[in-house]
Amino acid sequence: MSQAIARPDVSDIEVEINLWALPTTEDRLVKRMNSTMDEINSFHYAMLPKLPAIIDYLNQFKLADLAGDDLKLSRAALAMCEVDNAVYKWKTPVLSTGIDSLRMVKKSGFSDRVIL
Amino acid sequence: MGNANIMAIPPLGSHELGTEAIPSDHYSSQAFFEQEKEHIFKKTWLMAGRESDVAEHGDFITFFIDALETSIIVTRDKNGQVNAFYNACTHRGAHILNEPCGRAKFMTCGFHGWVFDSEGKLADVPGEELFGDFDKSKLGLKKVSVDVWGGFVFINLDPEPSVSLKEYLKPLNESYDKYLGNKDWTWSYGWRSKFNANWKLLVDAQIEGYHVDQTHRNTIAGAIPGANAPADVYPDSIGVPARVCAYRPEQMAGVQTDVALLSAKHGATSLYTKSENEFSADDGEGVLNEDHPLWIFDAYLLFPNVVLFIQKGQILVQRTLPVSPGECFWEVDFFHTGEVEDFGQLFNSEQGRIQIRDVLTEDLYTAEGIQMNFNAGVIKEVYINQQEIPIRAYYHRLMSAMKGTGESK
Repeated sequence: MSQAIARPDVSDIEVEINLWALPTTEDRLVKRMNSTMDEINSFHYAMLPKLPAIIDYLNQFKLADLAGDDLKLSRAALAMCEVDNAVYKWKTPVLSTGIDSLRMVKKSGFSDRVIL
Repeated sequence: MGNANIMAIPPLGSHELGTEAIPSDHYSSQAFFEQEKEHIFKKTWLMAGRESDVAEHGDFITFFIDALETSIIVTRDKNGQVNAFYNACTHRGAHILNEPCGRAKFMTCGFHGWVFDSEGKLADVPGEELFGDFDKSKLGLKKVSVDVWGGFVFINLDPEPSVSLKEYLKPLNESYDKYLGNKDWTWSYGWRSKFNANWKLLVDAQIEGYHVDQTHRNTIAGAIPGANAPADVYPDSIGVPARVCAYRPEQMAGVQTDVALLSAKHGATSLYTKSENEFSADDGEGVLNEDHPLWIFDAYLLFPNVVLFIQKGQILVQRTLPVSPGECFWEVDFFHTGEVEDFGQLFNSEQGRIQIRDVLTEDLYTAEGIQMNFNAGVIKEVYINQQEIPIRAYYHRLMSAMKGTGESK
């Protein structure tokens, strides 16, 4: 068995993690849409240097075993996916050349007719 | 490019598709829409669900064609057969099932309690003696033609379809049937939305590469240049008029972010970042263009309303269904193999899901404005170039279906 990977020290970015560690993709989408670019950049650039180590650390566990601070850390890491385009491509919190993302309502299965 | 010919596009006017402008009234006319309902939605094979959603005896799904005010039940009976019926109690016409899916070996109408088995036979009638002379065997659910291909359930409202589903979907051969029907594919996620646009506009937006550089300038610009999205048309096919393909550029342009590159280490679910993982195509000889190092996906138009994207490690299905000439439902669904078990896979899945979501918001952005211009009569015809030839093939097939000629090829 390979050696356990130590948890990276994220104490200096705890504030940002607490702000963005929201449970669902939809929660994080709304958070991004309602944030300023300063807030998005602040989170992104705080997390980015530690992200590879965070992923490597979290990746050694089964998803079902993530809990407590590790679960929170995993949600903040996933929020990096949500803000990526805003930071590097749009330079604004919301894409101005697309429909409102919230019009795309999440389905629960192939046959789901969530909007009737 | 080592395989320059793979980027070839059929020349303008090829396959009798013509070069003339295409009128726009088939997107806005109520009269044309009424004809579409008769000649297309009552006559062609329509993707209604996934076979795995009716895997066991009693499993059911319901499928709505809003424009026809028609609801269909798909069931698996005790003999393992997949059946389809109109969702209409033969007593007084009530919908029997209202859930999108579930399990009911016996389906009970909520109005008066008539009970039907999964073969559609009327099994029980409360107070049967109240009906006097009564033959239950003649009051089973009304059957709908149904078949399965590639793991997808298709229905056809024509009681005797002029072609089998297998024939309809040529040139997609047995390899595609096996590959797509692999039981390892499981539904991962999807979205549904309603648009004030003709149902075909949402299809048009997905079947040509000409739009990529401009429409997606704020997302995937550089990852799939428009010039790397060649197309093929299948003039002899009844149900597959065309496909569009996508290849990466030899020199990746655009922004490859650290997040995207980290994601690529853990899976293949992002269309736009080359995965470091491999994915084998069991029983799918020739389905994946694995020999080409830059290939990303092939997207097949399944007439009339499905665009089926096939890539390594992912199937993506976009469907639109009409409500009225200027109103439709649009949905997209993703299938992957294997469970997401560790965080790397979850990160990859999340990154891929968000990237495609943002790209789709761009694809969907233009349809409602186009519809307004068509409705207002401002734009009476549209111009289709060589790279947009799948739209011409789609229109050609649409018109042949409206004449009732396509089905009997």
